[in-house]
Amino acid sequence: MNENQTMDVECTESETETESLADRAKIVSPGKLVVKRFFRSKLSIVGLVMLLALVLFSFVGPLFSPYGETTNAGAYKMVTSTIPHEMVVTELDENGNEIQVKYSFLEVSEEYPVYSKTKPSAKNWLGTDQYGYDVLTRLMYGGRISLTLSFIVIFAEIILGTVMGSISGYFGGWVDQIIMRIVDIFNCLPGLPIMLLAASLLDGWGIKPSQKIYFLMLIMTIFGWSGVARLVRGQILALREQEFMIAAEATGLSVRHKIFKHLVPNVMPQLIVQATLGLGGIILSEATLSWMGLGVPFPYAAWGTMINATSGAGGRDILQNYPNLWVPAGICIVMAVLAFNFVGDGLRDAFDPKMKR
Amino acid sequence: MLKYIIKRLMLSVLILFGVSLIIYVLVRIQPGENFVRSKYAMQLAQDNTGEIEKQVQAMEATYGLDVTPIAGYWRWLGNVLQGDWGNSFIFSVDSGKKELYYTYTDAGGQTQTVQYYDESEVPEGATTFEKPIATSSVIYIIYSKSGISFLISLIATIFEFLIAIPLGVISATKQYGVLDYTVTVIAMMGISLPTFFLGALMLKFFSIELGWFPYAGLTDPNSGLPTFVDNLWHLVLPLTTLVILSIGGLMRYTRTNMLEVLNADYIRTARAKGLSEHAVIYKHAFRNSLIPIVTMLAGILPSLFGGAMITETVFSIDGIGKAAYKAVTQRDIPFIMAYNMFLSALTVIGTLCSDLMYAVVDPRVKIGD
Repeated sequence: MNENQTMDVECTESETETESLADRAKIVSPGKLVVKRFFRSKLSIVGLVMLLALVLFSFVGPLFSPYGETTNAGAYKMVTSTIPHEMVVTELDENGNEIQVKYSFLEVSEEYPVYSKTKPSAKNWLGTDQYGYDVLTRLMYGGRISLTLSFIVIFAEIILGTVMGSISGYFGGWVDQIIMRIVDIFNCLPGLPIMLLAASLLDGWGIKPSQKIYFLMLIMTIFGWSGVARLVRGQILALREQEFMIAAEATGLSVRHKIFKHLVPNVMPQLIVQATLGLGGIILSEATLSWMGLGVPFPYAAWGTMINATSGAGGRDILQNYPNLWVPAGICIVMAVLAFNFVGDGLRDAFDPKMKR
Repeated sequence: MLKYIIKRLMLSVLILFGVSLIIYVLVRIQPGENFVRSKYAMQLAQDNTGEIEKQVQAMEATYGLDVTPIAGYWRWLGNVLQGDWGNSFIFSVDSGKKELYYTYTDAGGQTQTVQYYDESEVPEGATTFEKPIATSSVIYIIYSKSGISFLISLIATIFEFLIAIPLGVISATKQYGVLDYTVTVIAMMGISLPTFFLGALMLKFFSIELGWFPYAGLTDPNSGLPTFVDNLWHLVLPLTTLVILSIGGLMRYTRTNMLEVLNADYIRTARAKGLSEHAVIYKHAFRNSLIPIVTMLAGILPSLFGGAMITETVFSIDGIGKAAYKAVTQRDIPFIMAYNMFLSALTVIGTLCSDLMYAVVDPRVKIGD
């Protein structure tokens, strides 16, 4: 084995000696060029590092946390509740007359813990929320929800949008007309109100809390694919007139082959950029829905829900005195969206053939 | 051109039809008691004459709640085509009109109240008074609530343009410089902030910690300021929030366009002529980079009139956005329909306007029929 390797090296060395200077020039594939250009931008590296940190924090972090998503970890007081009772009983006195006797007594419950919000401490680095849950741990689980949801939604949107857009662009005519009018309708739907209406349907239908995330993904996909379809259609309209498509036509390839092997790969760069930039938008929508109480429900953690603690009853107290309960969640959202935007921007510049740098 | 506009308008009708159908079905397929029935639940329970039941049924029939969603949609569409958008279930506002009454003492010494429509009907010596008429007409509610939202959006948009465009131009001319990176990072952070988080931060620092600005609402009777100044003072935080959130997008748009223009041949020509860098950038490049921005201006129509749902909710401003949020959570069908159709119509018109603007601003663009 070792001998073989040394042999090889010797061989190549002797070969390079005889090679001309031109042959030694490094050949860089377009893919490598994109990677090189991507890493030249400082912002895209920052974005990538932030993204990596968030993924590690959300998916690996919980393994190192001593608490679970719904472990009561905070400070608590043991309290008992007392319920006063009164009873009127008819009894016989010593003379044998019936008299009414009133008994008063207190029913005392067993001791149970009542949790309270706490400030950061050595035990809970970011304190605990009003249910006694560890905020840091819940941030990690919230990250799992946001990141998983956004990746799956963008994947589904890209697939649906690409299929619709490429069919529309390739066939043209009435197929194009119908698909594009549907896209127009979905584009015209006011985003936030529609999301609210659709998400509140889930509550009405009594979807289980543990399954709600799948339905949220479905809703976000349904109302989000139209942009991708429009992008793909536009690109394919231009691509199908090019010579390589005439060649594909001449070779007698099937329509499916032509669309998905020859046209769609050419739209890939734009799709990847659109997807990366779209991820940030989806994280924001998910957080907004959670903030309105329509996202992944309690007891599951979500970043938006954590910020929602600042509104409603007792919200002012949390806003004023317990920034540790909501500011970290907001920072996580900003970091995630920012990271996707940085990476997306870097990718766009890297894929752009006009970019010289 | 005219043919093109007519074609687009006809397509718009089709789009609005689809949009309204989707929204109506979404509102209606929510299971459970409809809003009318749950609103009158108490009266229905105590009712033994069947009168209330009849009233409720009549209301349900008016709103198409007694039939399937699709049939209800046709009824809604029929009403709308006749100009009747219906009455909101939950909102009612002062219509500005008044009912006029006069009271007089009759022969028996009883005080009588009579409604009148003309001054001449009032007998001498009678005291008159007026009652404001409340209205629940959704059109009127949207009209009365969108005023404040429009004002906020308008001011925010003006600030947005004033700040974002110069920043975009500067960052394009200094591409990859320190300034460019700083502006880009700040702009990106603005885009990445969730509205409710920025709102909460604003409230925390400028209202609670520093006490500079009020916590919620639009007026404070104890402030002792003139109403207009008081309102403006209340609007500082929401406006700042909106501006911070929106400048990022416009700034980057300006930067991209400016960069594209700066790479054009005529800029090289201008430089070759020996023009000063200032003249090249602000006379030759900047004007041309405005073309896409002007067309974008027509596209902001929906955001100008539609209100900011989350900002208004966070800062408790009684505008159209907050009303829409409340309506959605309480399933106020007539209001949701009217509001969303209003937004969609604005979107359709905005898109059409920005397409037309393209041809107006840039003579190279020809609109095909």
